[in-house]
Amino acid sequence: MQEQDAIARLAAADPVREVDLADVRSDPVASALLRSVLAEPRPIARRFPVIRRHHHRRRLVSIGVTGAVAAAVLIAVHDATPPPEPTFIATGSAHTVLLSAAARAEHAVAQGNYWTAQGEITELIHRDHDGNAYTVQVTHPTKTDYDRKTGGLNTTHYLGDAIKVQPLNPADAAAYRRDGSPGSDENPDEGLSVDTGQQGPASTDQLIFEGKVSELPSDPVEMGEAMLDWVAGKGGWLSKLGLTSSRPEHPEAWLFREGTKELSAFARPDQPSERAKLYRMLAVIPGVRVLEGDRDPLDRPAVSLALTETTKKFGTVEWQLYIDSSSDLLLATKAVVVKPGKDNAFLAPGAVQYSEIVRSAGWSNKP
Amino acid sequence: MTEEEQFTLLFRRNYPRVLAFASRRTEESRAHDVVAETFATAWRHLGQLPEDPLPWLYRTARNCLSNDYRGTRRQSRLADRLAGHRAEPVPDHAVQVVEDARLRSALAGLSGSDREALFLVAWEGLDQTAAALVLDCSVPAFKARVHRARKRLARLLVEADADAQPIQLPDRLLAGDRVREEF
Repeated sequence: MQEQDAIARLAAADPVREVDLADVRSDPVASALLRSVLAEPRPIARRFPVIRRHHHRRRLVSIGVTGAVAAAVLIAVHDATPPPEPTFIATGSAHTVLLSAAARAEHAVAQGNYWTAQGEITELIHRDHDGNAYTVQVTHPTKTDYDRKTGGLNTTHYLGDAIKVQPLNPADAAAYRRDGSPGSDENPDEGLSVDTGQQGPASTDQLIFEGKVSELPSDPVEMGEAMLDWVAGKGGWLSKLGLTSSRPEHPEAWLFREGTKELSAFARPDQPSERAKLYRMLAVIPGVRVLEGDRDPLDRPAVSLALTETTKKFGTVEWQLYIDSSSDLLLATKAVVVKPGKDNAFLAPGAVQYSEIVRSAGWSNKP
Repeated sequence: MTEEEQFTLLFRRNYPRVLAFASRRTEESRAHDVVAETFATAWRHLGQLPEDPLPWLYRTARNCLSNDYRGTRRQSRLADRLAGHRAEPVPDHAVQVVEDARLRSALAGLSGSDREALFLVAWEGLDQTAAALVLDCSVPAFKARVHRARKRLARLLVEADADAQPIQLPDRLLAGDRVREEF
């Protein structure tokens, strides 16, 4: 066989033909990628020092020998900075999605002084009372009002008659009826103890970030580190009592959950630049992935992301978030049980242990 | 023209080729990651890119793939130690996706660097100067590599075609355990 024939045979076996690839302008993946890359600040000289001393020397020699014009061409063609090897996580579909959300957040315009968000929180509660053990799904409406002028924030969790209790299966329903079909009650002996803390199955030590996003570094990696430092120094009950605290056991999951909570429509609305910072911080967390599907739990256009965490207490839980496709609004979050642990052994894999759904949210001029 | 406009132009001209380059060498989901990583790097270095950025983009994509492969190898070695047995080596994607079984066997008989040189010529359609830039070697070195690789591929194809059965090569060559290290 002639060598040319071998090369021709190899060329014919090309598994990917460029002509078959979609036009960039009509390819949504390419468009999203372009937007996300352009949203990244540049250059990051701290990470990639691109000017080296010996390059300067080479340039000067070239200028002396061949003249300024020729040197400029040589530099452009032959002295380009070698491609650096990536040194940090900055790729992937989830990264792209979150950077796109950051870009949308940065350009969002708040029209009005009053923020209102309405929706509901749903959680699975297990009760063992008077020999009746059962699991129910409890849904309670939630509303947040915020006045930008005064900074006043009011989040209301409607309990009592407003809650909806749904036993998981007929056996749970029978046990629930035998127990007197209780509603919510602060005293767990009297009724269902409903969590209103927007926590879900928080797997660590209830470490909560309560610092100011505006005071955190802009660099997403440094921002995450600063949040972890903050909670190690000031968060958690131990530190509040003047005792030593520590970083969360699972820092990636903690950052994912706390960042999501900061972005929640039910939380105090941050400035657009701060929301963008939060999304960029989420974008660099390892382990975040895009889920299939393009709808949220209420069938609205959304992109969904997830991070999985495993602890002894709650087993393996998949933390999911749903971002509106056309804005930076978090439409929903979910904690889905993948494999139950010690404290949620009553749940089956696939159960949604906790969820928040935003039905409406926005700025207006009316309180 | 602003930097954003410059980059948009560069992106639209080169995205399909870089995606094709990555897709030939890794699975589809990872290929998109490699493309994203490549263009993010290009954006950070926009001012230093050569006039024809395509070889630079290919080279950056190769770096991404190499990092990925090293990570996979580390995981594989760790799995070996934990499991107490030898894990399955990572298959060479570019060879595995070739439909022609005899050509596939012949390609598996080449070293990784020789095979990559041929891919750049036959699949990416690069001239020797551009291909040398991608592989970070001199043009004479690339010419020598391609010459050697073409001769060897032709010989291996003759052998493969002469035998109705696919060539049975040692596992270490078929699986890419050794050749991928030269990527």
